[in-house]
Amino acid sequence: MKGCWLLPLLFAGAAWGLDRGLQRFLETGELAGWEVAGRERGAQLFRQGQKALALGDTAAGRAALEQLTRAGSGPWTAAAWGLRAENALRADRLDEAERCLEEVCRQVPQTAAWTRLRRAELRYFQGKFAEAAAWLEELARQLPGDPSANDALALLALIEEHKDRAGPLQVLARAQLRLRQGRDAAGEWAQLEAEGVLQALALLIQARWVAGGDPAAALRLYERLAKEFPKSPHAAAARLEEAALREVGGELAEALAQYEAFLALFPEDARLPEVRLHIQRLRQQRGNQ
Amino acid sequence: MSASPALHAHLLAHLARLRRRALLLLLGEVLALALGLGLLLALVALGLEAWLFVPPPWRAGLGLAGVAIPNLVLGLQLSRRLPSLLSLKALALRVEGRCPQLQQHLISTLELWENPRAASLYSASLLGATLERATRLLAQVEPAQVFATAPLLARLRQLGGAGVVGLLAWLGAGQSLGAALDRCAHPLTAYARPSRTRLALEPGDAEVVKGADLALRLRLAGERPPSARLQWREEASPWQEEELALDADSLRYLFKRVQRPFAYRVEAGEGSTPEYQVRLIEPPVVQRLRLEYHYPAYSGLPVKSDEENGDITGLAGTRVLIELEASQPLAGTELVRGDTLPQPMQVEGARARTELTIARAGHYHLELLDLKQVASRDPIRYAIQVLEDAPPSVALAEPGRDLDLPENLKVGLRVEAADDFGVARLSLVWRINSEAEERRDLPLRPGRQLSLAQTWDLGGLDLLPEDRVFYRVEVFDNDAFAGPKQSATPEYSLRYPSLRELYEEVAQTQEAQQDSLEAWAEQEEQSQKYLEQVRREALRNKELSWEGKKELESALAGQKARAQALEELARQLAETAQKLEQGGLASQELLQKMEEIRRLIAEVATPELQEALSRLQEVAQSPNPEDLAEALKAFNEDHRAFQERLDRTLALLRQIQAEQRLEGAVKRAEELEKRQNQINQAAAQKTPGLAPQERRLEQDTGHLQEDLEKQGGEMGEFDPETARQLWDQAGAMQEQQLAQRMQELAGQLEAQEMSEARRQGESLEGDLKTLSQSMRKMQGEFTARQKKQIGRQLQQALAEVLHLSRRQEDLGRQGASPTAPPPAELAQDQFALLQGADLAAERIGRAAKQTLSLAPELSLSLGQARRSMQQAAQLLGQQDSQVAGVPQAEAMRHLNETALLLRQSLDNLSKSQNPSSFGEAMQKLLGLSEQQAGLNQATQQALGQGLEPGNQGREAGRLAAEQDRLAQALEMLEQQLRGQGGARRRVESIAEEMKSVAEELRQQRLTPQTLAAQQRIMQRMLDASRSIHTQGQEEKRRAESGQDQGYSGPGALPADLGQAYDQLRGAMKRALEGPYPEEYRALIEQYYERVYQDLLGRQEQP
Repeated sequence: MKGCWLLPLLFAGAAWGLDRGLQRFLETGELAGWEVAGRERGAQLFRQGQKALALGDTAAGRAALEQLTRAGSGPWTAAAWGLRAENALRADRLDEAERCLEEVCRQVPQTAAWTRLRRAELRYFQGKFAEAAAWLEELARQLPGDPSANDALALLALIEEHKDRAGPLQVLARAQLRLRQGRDAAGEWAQLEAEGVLQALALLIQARWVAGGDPAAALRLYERLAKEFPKSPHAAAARLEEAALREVGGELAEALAQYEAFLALFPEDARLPEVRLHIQRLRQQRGNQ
Repeated sequence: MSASPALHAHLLAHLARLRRRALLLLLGEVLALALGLGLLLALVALGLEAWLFVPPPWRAGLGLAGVAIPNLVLGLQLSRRLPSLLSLKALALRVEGRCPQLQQHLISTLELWENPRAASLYSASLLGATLERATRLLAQVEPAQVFATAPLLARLRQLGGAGVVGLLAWLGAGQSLGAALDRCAHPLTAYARPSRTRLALEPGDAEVVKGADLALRLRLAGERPPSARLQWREEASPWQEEELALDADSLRYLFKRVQRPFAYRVEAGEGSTPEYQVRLIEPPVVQRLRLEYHYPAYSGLPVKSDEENGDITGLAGTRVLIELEASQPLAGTELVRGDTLPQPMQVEGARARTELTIARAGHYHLELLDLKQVASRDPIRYAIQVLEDAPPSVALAEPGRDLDLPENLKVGLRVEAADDFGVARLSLVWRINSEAEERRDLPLRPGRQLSLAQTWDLGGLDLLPEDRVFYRVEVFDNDAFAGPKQSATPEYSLRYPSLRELYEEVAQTQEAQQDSLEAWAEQEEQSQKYLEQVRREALRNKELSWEGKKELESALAGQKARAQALEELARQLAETAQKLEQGGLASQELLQKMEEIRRLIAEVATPELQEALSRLQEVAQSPNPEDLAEALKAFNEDHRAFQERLDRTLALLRQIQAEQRLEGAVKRAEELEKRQNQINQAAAQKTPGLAPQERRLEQDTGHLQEDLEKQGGEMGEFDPETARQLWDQAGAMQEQQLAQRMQELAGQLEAQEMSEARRQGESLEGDLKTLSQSMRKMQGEFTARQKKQIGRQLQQALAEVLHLSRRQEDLGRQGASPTAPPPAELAQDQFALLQGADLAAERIGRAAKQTLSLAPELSLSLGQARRSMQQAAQLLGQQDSQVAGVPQAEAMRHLNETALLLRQSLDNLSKSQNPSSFGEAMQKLLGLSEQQAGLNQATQQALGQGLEPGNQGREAGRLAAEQDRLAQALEMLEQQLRGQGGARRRVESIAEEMKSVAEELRQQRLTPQTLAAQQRIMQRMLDASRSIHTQGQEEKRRAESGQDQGYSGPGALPADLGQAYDQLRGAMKRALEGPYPEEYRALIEQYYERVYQDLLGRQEQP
């Protein structure tokens, strides 16, 4: 009986070891480590998710990415959480997107600025402009040199410029979300047009969105913007972007004309020196041709 | 025979009687002889001794001789003459010899009767007859016949003669004879022969009161030498001496103020005196003197003890208890006032005491008498000084000068009064123009020094423009002895100016300021050109000529003078703003802008510029052109910034002045309407004397019309639309013939045509109302247009900066890419971005000339971005695209910071046009004030409980944490108030004070001062909330009755909660008296109600 008191200690030690194993299982779903053969498997799952997202198959993407993220920590995990967030956004599951972004930030603290931007963007899409602005402002103040700061400030400027027109801004945000989700936002654009607010901005956003896939449609939108809202602050951007689109499309003369028109129309704009330089290069390029 | 025996006995008795007589006469005679002889001999002996100073044997011999000779003579006389008297028969024979008539009867009788045989021989009858006969004959004999007294008398005469001689001798040389007698009385004693000069010195051994004089008297006898030597010494010290001339037989000498015991003697000729001792007697002295002052009750001074000296200094009426302790027990003491009025003191041992009451200045001394009846010497004379109860002093620290009355007709008076013993009363005395004086007492807490802040509301005085109120403050002290004394401040005046006067005055000042600035700006431009030229010349290594150096020095001196003059201009601007504020001529927002401009002007000449200027002045003397060029380069950089700041300030000043003039015009229009309304109301009550008021109104209306036209011309530069509206308004006034109609109304009022006057007045009031409303609307539109235009500029700048930032990011990424374009191309792109940044900076600069809402750090941030871009362009130009990535990232960061600052500026701009932001801030501030009130009470409780040191430390720590929390909350509120300079600074200042109190608490300094600071914080928070609240609110110019609001500094909250409740109620009442709009009045009521309920709740808790 002398050694009886040792039994509780032995039992506690065994329970601790068992518990750790159980903990691992609950976290990873695996009783044994998957790292041995998991590296290739992880990459495969990630690529599956990417592909599904590109194809707009959010369900397939979610399945692949969830499997990957459930596996615990691995080289693809953080990226998978990020992709899952985007996937959830496109599937209009904004709360899930938020959780996924939180996980990204938790796993890789260096992504704090990026995740903050994305989470602010989620709030913007949800119409929570004040919250979004606060997040964006904090990001820009804390990390003004981070690449995300430019996007953050751009979105912040947009929110603050139109903070007095919360309703139209919500429509605009919804339209942008729909575009992001690959859905049609014609209703929102029409609503804005009908209300007669934020039209220039709406046109600019639409043009930018379609410029990659349908340059002609984009050019039409740019032209419309320049014609209908010549005094809008977005008109200058529209002209430059139109010129750039034409330049990419090989319409150098038209592009030059647009750039020169910009010089004439916006003589005090800060983009003037760039445009002048670009014109010079274009002319040189044409001369070479 | 039987009668014969008797007869015989009778005869014998008769003879015996004769014999007795004879014996007495003999003895007397012999004794007189002996005495006379002895006296003469003694005189001779004394004379000899005195003269010869005989030696002892001789002296003894003389003495013996003097005794023996008289005795011998006495013996001889007796022996010779006595026997004849002892025998009866011899006596009978001597009698018969002197008396012949007896014949021999007597002797015969005696023999017969003595012979036994005679009876036998003679018959009895014979015997008897013989006896009878003898007896009869003897009876007939007179004794004097037998024994005469003459010899005795002769001897006695001789004795008397000897006595006379002796007496005369004694009288003539008594001293010598006395000394001789003394020596002769001691015949065997050897005596030295006395000197020829004999000295007697008085007083010999003596006792002298210390410090007193000692008088000596020297008497000389015998030979008198020409001088004497007086010798003295203290204890064992050597003798000192003084030669004294002897002109007489006596001499007086005085030892003055004897301080120590000494011995003395005198020598003169052969004579000398013994050594005499002088001992000192210490007189009584005052060893300790204590004065106890009991001041008059009105002075409020406590009892004071003074042991320093005996001078008495006190107020008239002060009772002084004088106590002394002497060096020795006293028999009596007197206090003598003014040398003549002794006042006995009560003595007890060596102490004495008395009292005196100060009535007038003078002096006193104390006279002591010790038990030996020695009096104190040279008593100290003490002064009695009567302190003047000085008259009170009073000053009006604020305003302390003649003023124009502010718009609200309230004048803040700050009275500083002081009296040496207490101010009892303060009175404000005033008169309007030359009317009778009026007065009223100001509330005060009696004290020696008062600082009373009082708001004097002149609203109830029914003042008219151009009235003057002359006023002063009188102060009375509390002198209950001689009656209150009084002083008064100088008389100041308050003038009730018309709005037009105020505006004209301010406008003139501002025009002068603007002219100065413009002139300086022009001079600065020329100066810059000149300095640049000098720099270029210096760069060409061209040394300046003497004239050139002088010219440069002159230019630099001018530069310095202009920089200094800017400070003066800033001060003038502050005065102008104050004038505007007091006159209610400008809104809070406008005043804030003026304050910002004042700050800008004060900051135009930065310390860096001043330093560069000083450096340049030093180097201007240098012969080395390179140094000069370098210094000029540094200076020109600062100078350019100086020029830009000056330009911006000038532009802003123009802008603000335009806004101010517009606002002034609006207020004047409103005032016209209000005055017309007052006249109309007075006319309805048939008040006389309205015509002059209406005429003044007519004049002011005409002036406003002229000014509107003038302002229309000036406003074109800023806003053509507003300029057009101003002209339109002037035209409308012309069309409505306002001035003419007012003139008519004045005539009607004069003629008492009241019904026409009422109609005309109402019509005019309506038109004036329309005018003021149009003006106010026009001002609002002007402001909105201005802000919209500035906001657009800032939005555009923000978009541009964001574009530049994004492009900068792209360019950096491009440079880092393996497929990057050549660095030269990237350098071109970078340079283009730099130029773009310049354009953005210019745009921001243009906006900065129109608004003060820009964040101050904006130019710094953009400047840093430009520098980084420039550096990146240079590195790219040097083909170093990898290293260029660093400044490119920096540039992007600074551009983003610039974007944030622009956003903040936009926020400032939008908040400045949105008064609702004040409401939110106020609500928060009131909430914090409430928490501060709770904290103050906790502090007070902690103080009141008198906690143990350890517990007090813990409690102080807890209070410090709470105070810190409130300070942080206030700092957050301060952030929300950005763009509201004045309010923000007030809140910032309160937060600073909170931190200071928290620090004190952390150091466990839980004192009444801490609590006072906390009370002050709460008061300031309430004041600030009210101030924030009233910002942007239009203050109406009014002349209505009001109550003065006294304020004598923050008072500590009482310990009992009931009292705290009363104070809060009072605070609420006071706060609600402020000019709050109605929507906030309810909020304030709620706030105080919550505080009250909270306190009530705490009170109910066990």
